[in-house]
Amino acid sequence: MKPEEISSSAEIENEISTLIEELLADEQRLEELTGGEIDTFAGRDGRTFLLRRAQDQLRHNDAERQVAILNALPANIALIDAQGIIVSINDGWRKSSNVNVWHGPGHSIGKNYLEICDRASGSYASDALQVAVGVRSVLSGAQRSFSLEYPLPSPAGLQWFLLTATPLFDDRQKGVVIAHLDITERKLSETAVTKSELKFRTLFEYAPDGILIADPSGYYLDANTSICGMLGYSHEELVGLHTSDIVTPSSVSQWSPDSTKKNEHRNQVWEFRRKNKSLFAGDVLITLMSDGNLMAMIRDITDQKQLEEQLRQAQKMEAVGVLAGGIAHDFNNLLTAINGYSDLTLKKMATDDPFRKNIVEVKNAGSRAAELTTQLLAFSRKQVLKSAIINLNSVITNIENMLSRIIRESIDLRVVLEPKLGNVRADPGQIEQVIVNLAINARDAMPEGGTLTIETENIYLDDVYVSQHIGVSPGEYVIMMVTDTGEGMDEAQQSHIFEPFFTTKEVGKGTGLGLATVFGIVKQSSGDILVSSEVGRGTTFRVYLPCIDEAVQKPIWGGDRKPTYSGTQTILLVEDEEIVRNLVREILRENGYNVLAAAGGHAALTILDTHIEPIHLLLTDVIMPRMGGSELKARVVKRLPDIKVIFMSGYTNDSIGDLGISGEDTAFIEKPFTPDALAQMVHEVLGN
Amino acid sequence: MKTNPTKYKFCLYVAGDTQNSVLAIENLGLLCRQYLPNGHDIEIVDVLRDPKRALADGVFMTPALVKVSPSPTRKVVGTLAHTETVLHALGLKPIIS
Repeated sequence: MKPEEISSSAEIENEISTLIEELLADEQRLEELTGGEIDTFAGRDGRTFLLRRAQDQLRHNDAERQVAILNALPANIALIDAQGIIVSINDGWRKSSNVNVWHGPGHSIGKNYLEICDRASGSYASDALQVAVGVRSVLSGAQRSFSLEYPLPSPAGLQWFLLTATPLFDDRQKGVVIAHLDITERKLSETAVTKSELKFRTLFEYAPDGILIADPSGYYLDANTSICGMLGYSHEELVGLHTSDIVTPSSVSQWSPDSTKKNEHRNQVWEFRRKNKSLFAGDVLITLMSDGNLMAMIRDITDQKQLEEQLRQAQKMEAVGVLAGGIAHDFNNLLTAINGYSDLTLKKMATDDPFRKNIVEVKNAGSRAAELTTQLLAFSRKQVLKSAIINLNSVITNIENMLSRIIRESIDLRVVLEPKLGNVRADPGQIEQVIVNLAINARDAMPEGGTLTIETENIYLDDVYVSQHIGVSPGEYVIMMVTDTGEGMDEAQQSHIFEPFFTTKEVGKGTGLGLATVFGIVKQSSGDILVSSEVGRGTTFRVYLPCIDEAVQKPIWGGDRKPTYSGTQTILLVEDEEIVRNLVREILRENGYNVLAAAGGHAALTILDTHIEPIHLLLTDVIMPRMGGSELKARVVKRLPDIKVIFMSGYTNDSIGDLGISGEDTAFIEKPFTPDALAQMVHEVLGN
Repeated sequence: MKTNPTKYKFCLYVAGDTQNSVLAIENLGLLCRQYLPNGHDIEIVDVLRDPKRALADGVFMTPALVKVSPSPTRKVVGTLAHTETVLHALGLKPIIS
């Protein structure tokens, strides 16, 4: 510096200090003149001068307010400079309970915040490190701001904070405002909402009922897994569909928004259309939700409806069976007389009698009628079954030749037998009847020829099958399938085929009893029969019979005998039906027996009182008014312990069991019987 | 609605929230509530925000109170702490007494 410059700067310095003194003096004077009551004065050019005292006050006021604002914020706030040194903190930071972590009172003005973060240890070290990186990038201008949500363990549980780093740039300094905001409450409620959402989402997704959420105009917003399964659509496909896409129009018309608002729309049955166009019935409950959308809960009631239908069908068959059984019983009494008298008449008639062929015709017609009643009884399950342990394969093999004769040549008979087929308990004669009837049915379904297949298999019917079919218990079964390749049946026909007198054949071609008989026999053998058929494709009947873990009983074959069934013993005959009583008396007398006939139990007991000669046999009807056969037997046996007893009835083994007349010492003859059959039984029972 | 034939209209010139200005505002309020309960209208002008207004109104120091109406216009400079002085200066004293 040159000497003159030095001197000039000293002069300036002198002048400046003089001016400052003058300025201060002026200010002092102004204060004196105004009593210290003014803050500003204006020059003539309009510029406003603030007195120093007023300037200080304004600065102070401003600073105080900013501090107040900062302290009022519910956050721990610090200002750091470009090097990371903490320049200023608010009360939140100062008073924070987070004493030993990377923000809070442990880190006061003058310390380097970035270094604190760098050195942080413990569970929050990685978060602190992230913060250090973030804050540096804000300071360098690489990032406009930085924020991080982080957890902090505390004695009261896990706390959550939101850290924000906001740049602070002005002419004089460069820095960052660090704010830690406690967001524990928000996090907890977020977690609670998430948990709640998860809980209800799980309920929604795993509900066994189908659930659909629709907007007020009927478009689907959400669907659960069950309804997707029911309808065959994926979730994505279902969302966006309209109610009219999956519900039949008649079902949609049942519903109106008003009915749901008034809560009138409770459970209704709607018809739903699956993706593959098939239909199912669903029980529907629609609820208006608080957001204005609609929630529909749908339960597939197909199985339930099927079971109801099966039950109705079973009850109907039961009722028809009772009716058929009752009619058959009355017919049997009449047929016993018709056939018996025909026989007796023929025996006495001369072989060249011109009326002989008339009687033969009567007898033939009577025999056919007797067969019909037998079938009716089979359907009504009221016939006497001669159950034995049998193997269906043997039964089928035995009648295979006969079947070939029954069916036409244009029909192929295929028999596929399971070699290890289980045994069943059934009447072999009745099972033959079942096979023959099914074969005839199949034959008639294939007028143009085809294939008749008879197969056997072992099968286990599980709880699922049993729950879907009425009257079947779970377990091992033997199944016999009879399949034709004929005309098939529609569903309406299938629902009626087991009813007696239902026939698809022309009038006069079928009795309508064939399949009804099959049904009766199978049911009476504790089995089940199912039909599946498709029009034009054919029909399959599946006969299920419970498998029995017992060996087959070999039938004992007797040689042909030339029977003579006469005797001379005395027989007490009790029968309320006069026509039968007279016939039986005549048959027995023809065979040499001495017959005492009574129309009822009391009359019989009177005969017992008055008749002195021995009586060897009681031949009585089972069901009679006032005193039944069982009671009569008991009272007769009391007086004549050695008397033999034969029951006659058109009823069943069920009834016999009910009436207490079963047992090894009890003989039973089923009406209608032939004279020879009666004579043979009487002969055998009397031990001749 | 009550009407007052002599409605007083004041303009108070202040400089931010400096101490004297704050005092002046407080004192003027007290004075008006006590002596002019029915009719007064106060406009406060901050010369730090609106310096031209003060110049236009011929105000060279703050705080300063100007009685705009009724005429004549009167001006008082200071914190308005001495009520009697202020009332005299504004020409209000004779009316009240």
